[in-house]
Amino acid sequence: MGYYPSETSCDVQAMKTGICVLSLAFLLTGCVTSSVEVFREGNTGIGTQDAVVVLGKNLQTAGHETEIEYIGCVGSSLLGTTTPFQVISQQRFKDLTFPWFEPRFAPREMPEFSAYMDEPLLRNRVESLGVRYIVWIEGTTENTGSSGGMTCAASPAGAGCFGFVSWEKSSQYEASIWDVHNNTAVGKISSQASGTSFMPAVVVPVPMIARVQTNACNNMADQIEEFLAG
Amino acid sequence: MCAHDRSLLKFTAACGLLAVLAACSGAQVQMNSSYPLPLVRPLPIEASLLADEAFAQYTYEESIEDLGNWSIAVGKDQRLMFEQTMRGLFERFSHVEEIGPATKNSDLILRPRVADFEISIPEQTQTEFFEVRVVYEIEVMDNQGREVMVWKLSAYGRADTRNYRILGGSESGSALAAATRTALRDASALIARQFALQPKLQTWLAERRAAEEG
Repeated sequence: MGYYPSETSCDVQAMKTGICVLSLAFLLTGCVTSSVEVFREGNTGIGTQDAVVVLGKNLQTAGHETEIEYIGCVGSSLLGTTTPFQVISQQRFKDLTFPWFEPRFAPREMPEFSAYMDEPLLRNRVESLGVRYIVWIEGTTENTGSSGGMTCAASPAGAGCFGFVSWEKSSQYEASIWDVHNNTAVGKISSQASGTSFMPAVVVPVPMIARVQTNACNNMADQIEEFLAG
Repeated sequence: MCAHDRSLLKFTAACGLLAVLAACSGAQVQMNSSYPLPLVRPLPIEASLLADEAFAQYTYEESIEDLGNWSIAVGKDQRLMFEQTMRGLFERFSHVEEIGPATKNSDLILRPRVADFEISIPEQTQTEFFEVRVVYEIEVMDNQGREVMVWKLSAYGRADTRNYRILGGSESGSALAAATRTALRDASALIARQFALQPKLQTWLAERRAAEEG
């Protein structure tokens, strides 16, 4: 004869464990170091009616593409900043200006964009959207290394893991900012971040995630806002 | 071990099995995207799209050794893509089923077909990309069915698997669909920007203009 916990007590116990693990995961995060560099080539300023478009410089050439998630993150972070201006999403802008910003035809440099703006249909569309600045982003977040090990096992008596793993990530992004009104490149912002995440496990693995990409995104958005404000 | 734990174990095992199967068994993609109208100056003519059944129901299928069966039902999307492209590219647009009395008001009839379709998956190229290349052959005719030109164009699209990861695993179907959508947008962009620049079409347009003026 043995003790068999009822399903209800098991649920309560599992819930408590889950809450503890989640709380720990939120409280414990890995460390991130970051830096931002700003290179200004021209004056800027932005009003409430002006719009900014954040585009990934994904030209289908060799190498990784800038993550869609990162482009979206910078766009939504700019929406949440204290300076009130409009932000147009990458997809909406590309659809409304199709085919001019598709990978095959997207302007690589400012002179090419200036030539595009000689096309009245495109110029009118960009003006009607109120686009004042185009922010081109390139770069990625990469896994740069990992170490450690973890063993997990399950038996009728229970399941658990033991060990310690860590992994490093590094983000490197650059934003080139074009002033649509004046047809000039007004500057560049670089954002770097790196961090190590840990996951020790004594029965229950407790991840401590370094939010490297989010950090690089928030820093980039803050700097873009400051840069555009002039 | 309580019922909750047993369920959790079963769930974990099922997830593991699904992940292994997903990695090895290819993907069956059903395309259902929307395509934008191109922002270009429309040509002052009426054009009709003649998309036969083989084109409108085209499905690409490939069995890759050790990497499973892959299929993309792209017919509906490519028909829609051509329709949207032509709506932007010409002042007037219509669908036709065949060349005959129904096409007498059309100036041009475009009959596209898939000349080639290729995919490559990350395991083949040792990259992070799903890639799709489509070659379209567009037969352009006047309303009597006489050939104006045959234009072959090659479109390309790719999708980075890192944008389509769920719980650390790659979602092959979504990535392949994204690569296909990008290839179709590339085809649309090419047609929108370069159709009117084709020498044989320019000759036809010039002759038509001369006939109207004379």
